[in-house]
Amino acid sequence: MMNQKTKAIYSVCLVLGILLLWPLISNFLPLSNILLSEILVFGLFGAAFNLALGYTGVLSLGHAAYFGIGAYTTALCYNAGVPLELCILFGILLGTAAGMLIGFLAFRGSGAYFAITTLAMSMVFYYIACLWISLTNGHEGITGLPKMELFIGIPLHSFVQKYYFILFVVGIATYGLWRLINSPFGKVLLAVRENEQRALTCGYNVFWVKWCSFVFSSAFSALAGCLFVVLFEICDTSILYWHMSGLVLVITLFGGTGRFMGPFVGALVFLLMKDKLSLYVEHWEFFTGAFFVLIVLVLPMGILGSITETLKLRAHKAKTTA
Amino acid sequence: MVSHTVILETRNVTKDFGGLRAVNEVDFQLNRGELMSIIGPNGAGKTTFFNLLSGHLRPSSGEILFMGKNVRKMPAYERCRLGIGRSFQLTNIFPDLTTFENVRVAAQSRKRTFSFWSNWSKYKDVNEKAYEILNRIGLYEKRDHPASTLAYGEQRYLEIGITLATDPLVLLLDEPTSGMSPEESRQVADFVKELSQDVDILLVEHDMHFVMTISDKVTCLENGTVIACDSPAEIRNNSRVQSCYLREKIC
Repeated sequence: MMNQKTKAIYSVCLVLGILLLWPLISNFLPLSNILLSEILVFGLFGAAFNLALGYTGVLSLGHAAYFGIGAYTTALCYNAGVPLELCILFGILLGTAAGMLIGFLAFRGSGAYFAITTLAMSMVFYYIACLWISLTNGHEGITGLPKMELFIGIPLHSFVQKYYFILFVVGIATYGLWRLINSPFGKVLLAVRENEQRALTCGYNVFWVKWCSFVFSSAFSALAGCLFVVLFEICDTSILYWHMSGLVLVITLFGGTGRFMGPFVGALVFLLMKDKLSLYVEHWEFFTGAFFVLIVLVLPMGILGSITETLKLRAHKAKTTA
Repeated sequence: MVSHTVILETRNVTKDFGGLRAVNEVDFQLNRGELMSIIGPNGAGKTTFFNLLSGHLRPSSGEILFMGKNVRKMPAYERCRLGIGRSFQLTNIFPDLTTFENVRVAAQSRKRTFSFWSNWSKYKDVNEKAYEILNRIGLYEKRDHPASTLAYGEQRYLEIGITLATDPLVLLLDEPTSGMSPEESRQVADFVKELSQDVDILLVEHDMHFVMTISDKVTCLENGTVIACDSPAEIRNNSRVQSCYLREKIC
């Protein structure tokens, strides 16, 4: 019998192996490199969002702000000739700074008040992007970026090159998130999610714990935004609109809140549905919406959550009957 | 260093909720090595007084001193770090975490809140402390069960365990026997008595038998005011206490 740790290592190696080899086989499969890159980017965005929602129990409706700030910073800096690595770093820093400020203000309230405050703050950034036309080019957005290339000399011209770059960065970021969730701090997050009052009475400063989690969440969201620009070489106001905040919520709920890989599964299902359905029907959102309602009603733990719970239950039954 | 025989003290503490005065100019002292109970009819302000001591509420006026230090303005988490631990009247645990994690996360509180990278399981001292407390509250066997699946009585013990894990110097227990059978109450009484060897205890309780057997001292509150504070035997015979509260219960 393999113990849990070996099992986990094997499954991570398997998934990584498949992802590394994907470009070789993607021509024969209905999942292109570009779509898989997009799934990785939105999976990371969802994982960052999940840190706040699933692990800390904080519902933000304004995560588009951090994603958008990361994206706009990368696009603007790269256009100005800043090396791509630095563009991404600036994107993360600015996104994090926004998270610090918004978190500090929004955590004065909780629940619905918190959610609405984050939504309102994110819309402020949306309108700034719409109205500051000399900088952002308004609704048209920033297009025609120079060919993507890393400063260290690696070109990111083709989608295969971009795919490997995104896989590398998302891999490292995911590992970072995993370490965070399994750290002593990660355990405090769960305590705050479960019972804020009790965590307070255990000696934890709940305000700063939630704030820290929110700041980490915004930093990783900003990174996802940076990668979005690397992938599509475009940045317009739609990524700061509240639809984006809704999208990341839907992706996270699809996969299962509080499940580490849930958002990646959610992004896979959602973007695959969008990609395939939009070929045949104009209003594909109708079907994803209906599917979302179905998930919420039938599988409230999300797709991955329900699968793992069923497997756990089965293993438990097998143990008790044996 | 001045040694304080009084560990927890209030001076003229008052709490108003709008026009209602829930706690009225209470002067109170808990000495080192003492097990004190607070009794009083429903609505006497016992839990409000507890909330003032633990920092969940701030007094409208008056002072609260812990080991001679004024903690009136200190939030609940800082008071906990100083050594004021409390349990709640309604069971208050982390339902979806395992029994072990419930205690472990509390045991960790004094050490590393903002440690983001290291693995939690590597802190052997924290884990060992959690196991030791699980043994003490008799839940070691159920350490991997989600706390929500424990029986009611076990959850009450777990709650005391969580509080103990924060290394309190004073333990505030809010009705530890509420909802328990007489047999279970007796066990809790033994347990609390045993705990009082290591830590000073202040408890709010309705079960008179429980209070009278284990307390060194009893304080009686009525309408937010202290009407008596004495040994259990004296309290039993105090006419004011009898008239307000104990008549049908003891006599």
